Amino acid sequence: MTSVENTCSGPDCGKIVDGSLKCPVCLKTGVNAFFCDQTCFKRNWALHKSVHSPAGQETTDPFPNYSYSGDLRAVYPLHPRREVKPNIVKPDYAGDGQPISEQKVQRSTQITVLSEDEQNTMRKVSKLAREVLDAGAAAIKPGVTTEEIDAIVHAACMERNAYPSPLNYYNFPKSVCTSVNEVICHGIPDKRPLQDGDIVNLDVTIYKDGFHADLNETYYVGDKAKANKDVVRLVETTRQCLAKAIEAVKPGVMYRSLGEVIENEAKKANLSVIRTYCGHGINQLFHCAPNVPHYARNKAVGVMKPGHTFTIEPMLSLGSFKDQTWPDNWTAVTSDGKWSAQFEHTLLVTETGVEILTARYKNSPGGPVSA
Amino acid sequence: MSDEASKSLLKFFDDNECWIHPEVEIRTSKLGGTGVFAKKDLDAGDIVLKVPKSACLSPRTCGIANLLDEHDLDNIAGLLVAFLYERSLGDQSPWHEFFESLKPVIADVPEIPKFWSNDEDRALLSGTEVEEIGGLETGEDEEVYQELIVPFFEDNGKLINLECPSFDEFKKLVVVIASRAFEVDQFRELCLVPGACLFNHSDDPDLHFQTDFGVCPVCGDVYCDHDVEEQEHEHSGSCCSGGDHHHGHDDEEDDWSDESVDGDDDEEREEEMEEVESGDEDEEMEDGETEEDEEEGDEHDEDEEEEDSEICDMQLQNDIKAGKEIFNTYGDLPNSMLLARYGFAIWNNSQEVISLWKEAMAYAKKAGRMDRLKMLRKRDPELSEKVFVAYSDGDVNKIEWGPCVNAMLTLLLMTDQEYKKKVCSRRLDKDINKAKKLLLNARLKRYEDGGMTSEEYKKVLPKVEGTKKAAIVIRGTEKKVIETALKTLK
Repeated sequence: MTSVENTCSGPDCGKIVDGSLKCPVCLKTGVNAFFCDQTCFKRNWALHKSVHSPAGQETTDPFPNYSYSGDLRAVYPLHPRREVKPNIVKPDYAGDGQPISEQKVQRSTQITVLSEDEQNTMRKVSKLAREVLDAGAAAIKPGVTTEEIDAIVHAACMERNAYPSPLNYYNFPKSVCTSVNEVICHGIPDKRPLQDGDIVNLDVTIYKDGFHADLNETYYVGDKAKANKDVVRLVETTRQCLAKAIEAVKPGVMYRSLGEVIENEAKKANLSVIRTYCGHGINQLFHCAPNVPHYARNKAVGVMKPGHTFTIEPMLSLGSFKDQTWPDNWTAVTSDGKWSAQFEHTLLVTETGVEILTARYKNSPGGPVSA
Repeated sequence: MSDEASKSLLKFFDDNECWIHPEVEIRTSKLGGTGVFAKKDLDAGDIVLKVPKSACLSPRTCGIANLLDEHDLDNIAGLLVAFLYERSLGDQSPWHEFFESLKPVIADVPEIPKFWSNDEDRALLSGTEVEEIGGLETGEDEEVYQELIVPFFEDNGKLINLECPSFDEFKKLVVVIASRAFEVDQFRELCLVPGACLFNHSDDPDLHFQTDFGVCPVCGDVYCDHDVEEQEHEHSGSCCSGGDHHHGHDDEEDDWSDESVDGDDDEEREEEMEEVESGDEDEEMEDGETEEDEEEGDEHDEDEEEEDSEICDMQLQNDIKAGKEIFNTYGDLPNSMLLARYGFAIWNNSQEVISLWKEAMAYAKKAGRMDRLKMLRKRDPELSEKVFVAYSDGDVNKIEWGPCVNAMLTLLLMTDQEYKKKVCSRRLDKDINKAKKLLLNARLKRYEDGGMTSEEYKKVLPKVEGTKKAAIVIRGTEKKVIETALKTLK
């Protein structure tokens, strides 16, 4: 007999539940919100109860006393954690949120060189990740909530028997990061409908056959955004920064030199480069060496060799490079509330240069617009 | 240091958030090369230099860290390749200005004795401690070069567009690197710390190199998620060589001596203990005074910065008068180690150590009691390193014998019957002193110099230069220890 594993609904927990303790309020509305035990339930009550708003749907700002840096607000309640099909192989953090394998890695100066077989798996998984991103992106339009996009991304992962890597990574509650306007990255999908004139970044990572593949793009929501010159400058320069940095990738190039390329490009367009978040190695681990800063004069270590797989994911901003984090401990926003854009690919260093593993298809949604 | 080199270094400091005390200057030292001098009176506790760890060059922080890791190249060999690579990048390297400032230093690097070109001078080192510690054997360097350096470049030279250095260049750089490297922390390990290497060595240093050693060995951060056992924090080291050369100052007791030897040893220990204790009291008094001084004139509120684990700094341990050179230490090293590693030696080095192991073996053999020495060595494999005579506590008027000398001599002086019974109730003081004299006189013969005294060597000093001078310093200083030891036995 097989049974679906239930995970604890406590926002700070996420363990596999072996009992049958459920939230009584949720149960009344027909929702099974499992908890591992009473203490966890009590501890998480304050946050959990935000999902209890009556059907028909009043939404609330969970952080009414927080001084937001821009116009965007968190819109709760969040939909309970989505189920993962039992046949899907999960990464180690799917249970308790702790990526033990990442924490146990060798020195940060060790960069994994993938064998040809492993490279082929990365190729395959990266293509699937591209399909998942495109599925989510196709749904972007004014009026759609980021949580609805999360549902689509999650379903696209399930269809491909892939685990959505962000889900429960250090307890991240969703299957995709959706970063709107002044959000730099790691935005949590919620009940806010996208508006004409917004920009939104979808950051997808999937885990399948033992490997992660990671990519993101920023999309214009509606035609209004495409008519905003500053916004187009921001989005298109960021897209260009990633392209230029990728052009520089080949064996023998130092990881620290990519930041130079990106910052030069950003400066020309009078944009600033976010410093807190970096590209990263990606393979059997979601995040590992090398560290790939996007700003100039960084001292990141390591030189590229055929068989390295890593991401470049520049984040640029119309204003300051400084960032702050919402009380949800995830959503990174610009500290001046100015908008920010990001693009990301998973790359493989080859004998002669680079292969963009998560490259766009001809019919992929989004893509450049002319200024 | 040339103006140009000095300017380069200051620019590097500016660009990398390093800080050097405004009242110190870098200029030519009478020791040769450059040194750091106080422009005004400086106080104990003053920080003279601060260098963020991010500005330190190590095999872990250089651009090719992953390649070095793949080849298990760390320590001096790793740092040497890291240096070669970053230097090859010219102004594309974050350390470019630092390398510019090193140029005159590299041009001027002293040779270490195993590579001395003058055979006559090298011959002067036979019979000295330099020979004793293997300082004339080149095997190890060739091994490192052939087995670590050459294969690294075979694998990676093309990738990083860098040719393998010649053995000659390698030899030269090893000295440059060795004399300028510091252990910074558990992650970065051996580093070139820009600026810190400007200070010359003294056996009575003014400075203390301070660094938070206990960082995550995986990523080098203090706070991270990496799953490693917590390590001890706050470690202060000196130059790379600082910790790895201890001449048996440990209080290890040899279990056999307790039962077989009467009170002699214990009495001696008690005496030593007392001396140490009274010494401590004096120090405490002094400490108390300095603390008060600091409270009165607390101009340096460096506490916060000292706690900053991202920064290494050099702090004064004593006051420095205006115009004086400020000295660091490469470690509490005798001349043999200083010369073998860094190519220099200091007259009357208070850290001098003279091995008497060969003499002890000859003595045992002659007495037909080699079996006893062998037995002892079996119990203590490091015995040979514990049979020495040295200055005590850095005081050139006080002599200290290796921790096993008395016990070893007692064992060798026992009659066959006493040895069998493992009991010796005679007082052996006089015999032990006699034996010590024998050992010292035998040691003097190794120099094969017709019995020249340290004073006679000293007189030669002004007339010689370069490697010959270094050899004379070695001989004269070593002889001084033996002469002083002989005097204390009278």
